[in-house]
Amino acid sequence: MLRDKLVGLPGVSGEETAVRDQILQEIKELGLTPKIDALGNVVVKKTGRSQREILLVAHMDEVGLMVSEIDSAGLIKFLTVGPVDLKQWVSKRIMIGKDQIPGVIGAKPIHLQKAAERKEMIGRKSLYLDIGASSKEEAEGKVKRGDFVSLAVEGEAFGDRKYKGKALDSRLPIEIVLELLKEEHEATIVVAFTVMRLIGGRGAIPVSWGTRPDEILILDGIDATDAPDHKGRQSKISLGAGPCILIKEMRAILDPKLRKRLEQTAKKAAISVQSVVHGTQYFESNFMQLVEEGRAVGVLALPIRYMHSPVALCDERDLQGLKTFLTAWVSVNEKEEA
Amino acid sequence: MKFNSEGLKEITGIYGPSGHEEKVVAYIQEAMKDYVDEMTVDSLGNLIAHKKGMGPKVMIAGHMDQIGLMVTDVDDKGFVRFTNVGGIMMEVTIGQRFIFEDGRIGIVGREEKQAIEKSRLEHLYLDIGAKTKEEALGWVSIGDICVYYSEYVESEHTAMARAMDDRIGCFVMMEALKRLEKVENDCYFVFTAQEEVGTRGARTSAYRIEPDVGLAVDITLSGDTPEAKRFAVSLHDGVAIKVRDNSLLSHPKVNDRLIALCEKHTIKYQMEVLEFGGTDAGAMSLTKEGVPASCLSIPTRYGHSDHEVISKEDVEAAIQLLVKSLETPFEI
Repeated sequence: MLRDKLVGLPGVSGEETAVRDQILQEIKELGLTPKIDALGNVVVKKTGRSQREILLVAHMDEVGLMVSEIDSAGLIKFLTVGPVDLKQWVSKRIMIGKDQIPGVIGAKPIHLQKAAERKEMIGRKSLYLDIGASSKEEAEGKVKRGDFVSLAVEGEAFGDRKYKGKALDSRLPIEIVLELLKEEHEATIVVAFTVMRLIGGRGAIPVSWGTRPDEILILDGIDATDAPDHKGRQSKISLGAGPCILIKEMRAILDPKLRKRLEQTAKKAAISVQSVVHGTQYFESNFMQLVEEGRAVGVLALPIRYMHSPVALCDERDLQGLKTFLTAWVSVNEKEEA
Repeated sequence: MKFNSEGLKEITGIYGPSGHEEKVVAYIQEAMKDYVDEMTVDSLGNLIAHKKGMGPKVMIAGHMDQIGLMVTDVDDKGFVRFTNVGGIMMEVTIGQRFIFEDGRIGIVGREEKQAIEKSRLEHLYLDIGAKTKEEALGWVSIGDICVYYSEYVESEHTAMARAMDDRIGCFVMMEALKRLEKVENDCYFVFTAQEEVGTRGARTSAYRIEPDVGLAVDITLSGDTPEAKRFAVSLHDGVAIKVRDNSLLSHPKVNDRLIALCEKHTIKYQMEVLEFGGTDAGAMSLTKEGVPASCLSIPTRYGHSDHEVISKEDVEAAIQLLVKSLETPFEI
């Protein structure tokens, strides 16, 4: 299944090659011609029956680590790439570099910890990557400084219509737009698969420069806030209650007219959606809205529990909702009704 | 010159948080229609008022938007939870009244079990007088924004209102437009959107206009209250010419010209060195290949509260300086 494959691929911000290659292969099978820009973004256009042009954006990258030092015992020190919560990464399987060298993230075992250490939060400095090497030389033969490190996790369906794995915020929207590209639509669709979203929306900036789509829709994941103890500057966002239409993210207030049209389309097509505010997560909209004279940008996001961990969780009904919604959205031919 | 109290009272009373500036746009459009050559509204909601003239292209930016609270959720008992839109300060938010676009008013309360010094925005709520969640959600929706609710007050020397930041800038620009007979600059008066959430409107409008010079009109703080942080800007000491803030190092030649005009026309001024914050001038200055920019600041006490206080003399000085800046070519 394509989803499992996409979720399993490594694609840390700045090194999205494996994900990009998979996307390019899928696009070519559809007979479409993709373009790749200097940053590594993939842009592909599928001409529709009408003039209305929609730019859909889905990011290819996931959070990860980068090799910084190999010590005398062959253990590897690292930096984080993107918003990584290392508490959630301790004792997990990882893979390093192009050759996907397998390893684990080690931490001091409980018997060796001092009393005070047992109460402390584990930080980057007390963790290391272990690829099972017996010496510095052996480790250096397999791993180089600057190699990217991603979680080694297979995606899988489980429970009641749930799916778990890593990088769901990236790979699920990608799966959905690839499916959308298979069919003929009224609107002309341009899809941008972007790089480096998680280290500051870097890929999204050149993608919108010089383009004049009628609207930009960003597809992404958003933190579900349906845990019992949740309290924060976010709306209630529940798994299974439908894709989220964003009103405001951490920085940008999304185009109010476009948002209302999104809500109306969902209503007309009887798709359940959640209109939400998230005060602590930013999206590529933060950057794309401000390109040149400004752009009308909307965000549609899948609720995801445990984002950026090895056990991110989503609900099949939300995926289906987003798919149905997008199909309805691109089936309309008229431009924005004033 | 008589102070236009009525005008300031009106414009500070209009509902217009970031992203929802339409009512301010409508007010300014109506008030300024006889004073400019054309007006357009762009995709982010900036109102661009063009007063044509030969000479350098000058963009004047004052932001329309005010800070507010955005509804994130409503709890089972009908208490409204919110996030901030712009720089909301906890200590001046607790116990204040807020008003929604449709006139619905609520009061901000605090979870009392939480020690006050550990309280964060997520420990505050808005009480809109509903009995149940259903009732509250019938009155307000997720994503609605409310703004400070308070009365306009004037003393002999000062005016006090919510949203002085930055309707006072819009006010200065409008008063200047009324007084400008002819201009020797190609003037773009941009009433900007979304300044409080990251000078967003100024950034995109400056890209479109490509000005030769950028002047923002915005509030700054004042260092003249008891035991205030050291800051050599005081109410009643004139318009403040910005030298720096965290978004901008003002262009020295722009400031030289502003100072020279103040000296020549005996306009009271002071220099402002702000160690934090940012304005639309910062956004303009980094447009395309760069734009020489500065900011005419209005010293303000209690910024970002429901009672921002300015000096009427300082406002008059700012209007005069803006008029004099635009009457003759802004050559630097």
